[in-house]
Amino acid sequence: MEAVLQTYGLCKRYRRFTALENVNMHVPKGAIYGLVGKNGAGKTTLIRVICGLQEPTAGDYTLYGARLGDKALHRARRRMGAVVETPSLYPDMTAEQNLKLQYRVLGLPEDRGIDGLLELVGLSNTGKKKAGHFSLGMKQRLGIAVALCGDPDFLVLDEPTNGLDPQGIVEMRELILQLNRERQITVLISSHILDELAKLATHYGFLDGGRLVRQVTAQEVEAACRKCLRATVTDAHALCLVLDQLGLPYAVAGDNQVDIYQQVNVTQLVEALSQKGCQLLSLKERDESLESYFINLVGGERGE
Amino acid sequence: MANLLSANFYRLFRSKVFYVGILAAVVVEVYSLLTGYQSTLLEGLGLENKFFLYPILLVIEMPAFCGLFFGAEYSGGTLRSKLIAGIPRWKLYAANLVTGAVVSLAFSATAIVTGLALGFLLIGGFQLETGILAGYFLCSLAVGVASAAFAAMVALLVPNRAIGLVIGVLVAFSLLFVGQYLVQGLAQPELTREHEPVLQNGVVVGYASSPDAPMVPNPRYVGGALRTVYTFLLHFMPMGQCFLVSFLGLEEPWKLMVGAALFTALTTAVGLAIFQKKDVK
Repeated sequence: MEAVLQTYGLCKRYRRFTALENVNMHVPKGAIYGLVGKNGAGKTTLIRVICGLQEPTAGDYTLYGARLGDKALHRARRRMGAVVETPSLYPDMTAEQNLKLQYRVLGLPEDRGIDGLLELVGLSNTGKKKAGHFSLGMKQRLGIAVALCGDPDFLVLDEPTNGLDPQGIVEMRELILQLNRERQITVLISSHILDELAKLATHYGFLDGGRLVRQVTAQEVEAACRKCLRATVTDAHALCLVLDQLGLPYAVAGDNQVDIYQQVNVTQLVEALSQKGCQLLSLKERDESLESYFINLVGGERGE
Repeated sequence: MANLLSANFYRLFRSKVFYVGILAAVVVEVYSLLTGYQSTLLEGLGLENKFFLYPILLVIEMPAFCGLFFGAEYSGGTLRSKLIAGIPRWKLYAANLVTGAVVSLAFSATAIVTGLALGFLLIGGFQLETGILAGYFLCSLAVGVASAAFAAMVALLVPNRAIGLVIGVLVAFSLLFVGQYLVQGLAQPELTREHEPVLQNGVVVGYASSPDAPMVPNPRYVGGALRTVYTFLLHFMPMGQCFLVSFLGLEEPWKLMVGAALFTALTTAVGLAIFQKKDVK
């Protein structure tokens, strides 16, 4: 799949501290890419580096095919908008003036698109209220509107739901989905509110200690998190034969473990297994969320 | 860069800081004329005697203005959005430098208009020759531009708005004292009357010179290579240049113009080199 962003062995070190180490990330076009990691995992550093705010210590990246150091990268950045950490706003200006200013920075005619953008982010009726007096949710939405000036194809959002109330979180989610579906904007979004991210992302990158420990699609996560019964037996091969006979979907999870993705008649299963000389040692219901998937992946004992 | 300048000016005309700066220029010029016009008239001097106080104000005012105006780009995160939008750093720096220079000219122009309007009413015209007077006007503008270059550098290199503001103003103040020290050093005559101890009850209570005392070398006179260094620094730093203009000490205006151009180029080169590699958070 065509990549909007591709990083190659990206590293960022601050004196003795390594913030990013050999990050190879692939953000496909049209995706909502969820960047998942604990506090201090390197999410914001990675975003800063790809946004051109910081230079990588080593490694390389391409944005729409333009490589770091190429003159074409400046043009490629024109196709990108971002809200990094806090929304970029002039607090003593109204929402409309903030957008007008960004239009001027980009050399765009002011009479085109500003009203539409304000409407899109739900700020069309803020009038002369200064951005400094906006609620956090309104500031976030205005920040996204500023990032959307110039019709970017790629939007980078760093913790966009931080500090928002439940209503604000839902509105933000709807907005991101709308941008992705209706405007075909590729979104890279970092968050540690994993339940929220699970409702959005089509792809995930899991960062831990500055390393991208896994990169998967939402389908793969879904498959891994699928509700199932994990059976531990003395002979996994025998269990597989029995499940085949019973016509139950399953996946081998370990030497003696098999995940069964359908309700099972336990008595029938035990009898069938005993005929093959196999014992059922345990049968546990598993219902993994993205959160538990992440904890299993990076280990819950470190960090935080 | 035209886009960035357009955005900067859009913001500038809505900025309270800018209008406070304009007001400060008016107040300082009015204060200078109101407090000094009587002595100027008594001594039979021209308007120029109390006119050029504003370059000293600019040296302090520009770091304060740039710290607040450009510092807001860091604190508001808008500098990030410009960089993310693919604007090269050198263009960003250059646009801020030009904006700062234009603001310094606006402050100077305000002070000049105020000074001319009030000065002609209170004191009358200038007594300096037109060519020399033009030199002073040009040099006063050059001081403003050099101050803007220094202020833009500090504002773009210090990401914390408050710290940037304090550093800019403090350094400017400190260098003003250095400038004053240089002026005083260079003003010392080469020879001075010999001082003799003043005795009171056989105790030395001070030193004084009489008009018929012999002339002796002045130990405070700055000569040789040191004098060249003092003179160069005075013409190079806006914090020295402002005294040359304000106290009508310009002998060769071109030296100040070259010094201001050198200072602007040097601060810009250093600032830009650091800003190009700077991690923006």
